[in-house]
Amino acid sequence: MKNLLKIRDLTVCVEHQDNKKIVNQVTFDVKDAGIVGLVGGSGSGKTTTGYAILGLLDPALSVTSGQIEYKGQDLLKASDSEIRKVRGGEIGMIFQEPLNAFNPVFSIGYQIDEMLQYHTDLGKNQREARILELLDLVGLPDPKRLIKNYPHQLSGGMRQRAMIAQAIAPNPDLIIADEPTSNLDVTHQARIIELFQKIRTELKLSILLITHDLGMVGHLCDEVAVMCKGNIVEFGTAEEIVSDPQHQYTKDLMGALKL
Amino acid sequence: MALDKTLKFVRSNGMFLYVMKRLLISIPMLLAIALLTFILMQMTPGDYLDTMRMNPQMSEETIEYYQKLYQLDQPVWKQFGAWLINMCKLEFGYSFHYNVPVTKIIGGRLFNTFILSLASFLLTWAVAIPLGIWAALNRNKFSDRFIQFMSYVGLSMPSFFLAMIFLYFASQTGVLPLGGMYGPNHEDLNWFQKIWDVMRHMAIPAVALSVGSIAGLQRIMRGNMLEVLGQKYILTAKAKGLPQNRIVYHHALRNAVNPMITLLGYEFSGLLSGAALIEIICSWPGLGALMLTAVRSKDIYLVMASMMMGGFLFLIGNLLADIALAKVDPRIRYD
Amino acid sequence: MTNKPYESMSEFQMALRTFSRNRVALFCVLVLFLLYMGAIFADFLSPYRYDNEDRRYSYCPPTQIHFFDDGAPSWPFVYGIDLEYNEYHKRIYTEDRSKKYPVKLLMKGDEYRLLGFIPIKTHLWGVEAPGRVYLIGADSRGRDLWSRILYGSRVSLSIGLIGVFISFTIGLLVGGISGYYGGRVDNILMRIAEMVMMVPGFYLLLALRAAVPPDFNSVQVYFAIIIILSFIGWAGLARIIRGMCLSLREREFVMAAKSIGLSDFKIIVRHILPHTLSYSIFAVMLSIPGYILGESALSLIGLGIQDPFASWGNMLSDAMSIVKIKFYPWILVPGFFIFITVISFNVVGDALRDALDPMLKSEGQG
Repeated sequence: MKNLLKIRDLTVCVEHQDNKKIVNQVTFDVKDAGIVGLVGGSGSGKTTTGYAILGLLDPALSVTSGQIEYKGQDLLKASDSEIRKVRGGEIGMIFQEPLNAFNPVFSIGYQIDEMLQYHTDLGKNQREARILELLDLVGLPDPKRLIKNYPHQLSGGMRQRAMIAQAIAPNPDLIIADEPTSNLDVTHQARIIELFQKIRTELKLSILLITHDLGMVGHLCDEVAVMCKGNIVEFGTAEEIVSDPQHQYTKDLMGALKL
Repeated sequence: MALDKTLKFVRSNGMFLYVMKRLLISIPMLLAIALLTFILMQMTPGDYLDTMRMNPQMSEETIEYYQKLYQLDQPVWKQFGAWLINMCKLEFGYSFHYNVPVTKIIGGRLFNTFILSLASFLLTWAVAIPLGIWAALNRNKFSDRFIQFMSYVGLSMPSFFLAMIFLYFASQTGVLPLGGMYGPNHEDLNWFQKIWDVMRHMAIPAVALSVGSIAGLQRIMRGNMLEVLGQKYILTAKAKGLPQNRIVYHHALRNAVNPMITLLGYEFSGLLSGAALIEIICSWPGLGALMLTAVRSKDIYLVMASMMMGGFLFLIGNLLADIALAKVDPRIRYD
Repeated sequence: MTNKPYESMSEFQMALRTFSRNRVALFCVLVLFLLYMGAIFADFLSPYRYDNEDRRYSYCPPTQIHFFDDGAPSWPFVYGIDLEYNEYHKRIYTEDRSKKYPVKLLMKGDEYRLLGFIPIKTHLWGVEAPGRVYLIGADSRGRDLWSRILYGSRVSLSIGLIGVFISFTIGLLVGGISGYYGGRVDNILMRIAEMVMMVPGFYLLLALRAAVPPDFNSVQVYFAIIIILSFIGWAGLARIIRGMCLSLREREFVMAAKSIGLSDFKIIVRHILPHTLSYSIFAVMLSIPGYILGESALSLIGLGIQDPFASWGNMLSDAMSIVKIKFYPWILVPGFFIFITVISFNVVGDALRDALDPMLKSEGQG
């Protein structure tokens, strides 16, 4: 299995303050059609790592060293226009709070359509058909009516699915999911986990799952990287991490989970 | 059956319902303004007809006509009723100062004020929006700081004083006309030149009027843009790989402008009222100047009619702003 | 996090500290202080009384104060003023170098009343008669513009303070009641407020002025104007207060006060309003310019303070004639004073709002 994404010695600091390392020498791979979990508490640097991949870092932060290799290209050295092509089209992103992540004044259909407009060559009718397809794929009912709805009219769970639909619309090879279920209740969480498994199998895409929820990681991921204060403290397959945690921090996380 | 259909139409069309709701609220407001105006009228000492009676050119019939029209020998509440009904019939009473029924003068003046306000309004929005966007995109750089500084000056400068300063420079340089609405040879010009003539006369008052609004609006635009640009959905748009232009001018701008749509209505009414003083200084023959003459000469009906006009136009402005907001921000409609 | 009154005081002190770091705002506070000092001590600081006229010097340009006498530094002085008419019957003022009048400090001039009752004649500076010193020029009647600006500041600046005080009191009460009770009371009161805000301000101003009897003397007109301006201005403040009260009433300390049986009125006055006071001070600052401008506008068109009393507004009414502006541009100076006052209030008010911002935000979240 090839490695889709290779992150090597990624270090992110607060701008002009090289001693404040948010992410420190992070190294791991994401395989083709693999699901990697990036786990840790707040301040662990997991979200920053994810954002760094697509160059979406807060302007107060900067990457001081490392490489992020995607399909042979170092994303950290890519030009603006190159990175823009990768964003959405090759690597998609799902955010934590879908209400905020969708633009409130455009309909769901419009925003998904936008993805297709900018990343594919499909004509208007083809795009319409594809959107309906996508909404169906993620398990949203009554797609024809949903297209015209606005984000605030959907429930949280439905919004997250719509967000996933938007992300997979241009057939990316990797999806970065930043805490996708943290704002949902447990039943919805389970369904989203199912959905992720489904899209991995059917669409053969990889997922980088950023979360603090070790339980979710156990259900979904192939491999897990545990992060603490900017460093990866443990890396292994999901079974290894869950059943036999090595590092103290991982043990603490697992302990908290069992409670 | 018809009732069912109507109900169905009303329920399914959120916009219609919303407009109806707003209209329904506006009517009592208008009535309240009318009441306020009427009470003020009553407070002024003397019977309005006294002034009329003193005028030797007034015939007995005219005086009696107005007495009947306004039911001046009836109890106060009946007078109010009469005044209201007359207003709806566009009968605004008689102007003692100009010696004609109010309706004859108010129309033209209203139009003049309207075009001045409109010009100022368009100027304001045409300048303030791009300025605000640019300031937001160049936050804290020199250009932003400079614009903010100028805004401060513009906001604090009394518009009438600014008009005076403009007139001073105009008088020294002779570039623009010094007041009034028409040049001396206006009648002889062709229609295109006529428009140009009016526009030249409108330049100083319109700009003096606009400066304050531009400053204020620019600040709001900048603030909104900055707030919107910090929102998660802008990050999403970036993550979707959209080009910068689309993110700023489509995704961000739409959201930033929304809260300002309601301002449209208030802007307009503020213009009507602010225009009055500028009109007087620049000798622009508008409603404000008219109102001043009316107040100075205690021309009561004229004063009241002008006030009602002002309130009415404000309500219209507000209603239009509400409708525009509902169209533009879907969240309002479906509440 | 509960917010008891003593805690909010320390938050307020924090806000004050933030404010004091803002140098521009502090500068503007200084400017305002100087302006108000100028108003209070107008008699002392100006060489002439506001109605001291000398028609021979109508529209005399600013007299130059000389610090050098034929090249040698000397005590400041002015020359006499000579009047000639040119071929267009326009007045030309030239210096008459044969007459020299030194600037005198603490000299005796027009009589005025210190603190309103002590008759006194000492002015800070001036020149001995028959010399005239017009620091910024003269108006149509030969009255010193600088003196009139100082006297005028009394009217313009005091109307701002008194007017806003009245409006604020009304606004506090209405807003407090409205925000505290909510529901129907709130609805009605806010509708009334909206209505008042709705009528275009200037028109309402004029209409109310029209209702004032024509035989009012200047002092009565002064108070009438204040009342009129307050009538228009309370609504905006009331809405702000109401918003704050609405969120405040859900706070624990209100529940606590209720539980010990305090009457509604006492709760509003003793607990809720003090909270709003510190926050609303910026709103007060920012609305003062409105009153100053309102009075100026009225006086400008002759419906405010009348001659011979000076107000910045009525001094500017002279400037409504373009001919006069062209030839005697110094009559525009009162406008600059209005501008400086307004901008200072705006800067201070804004700075206060920025300093209070974190508090405003947290209060708003109840």
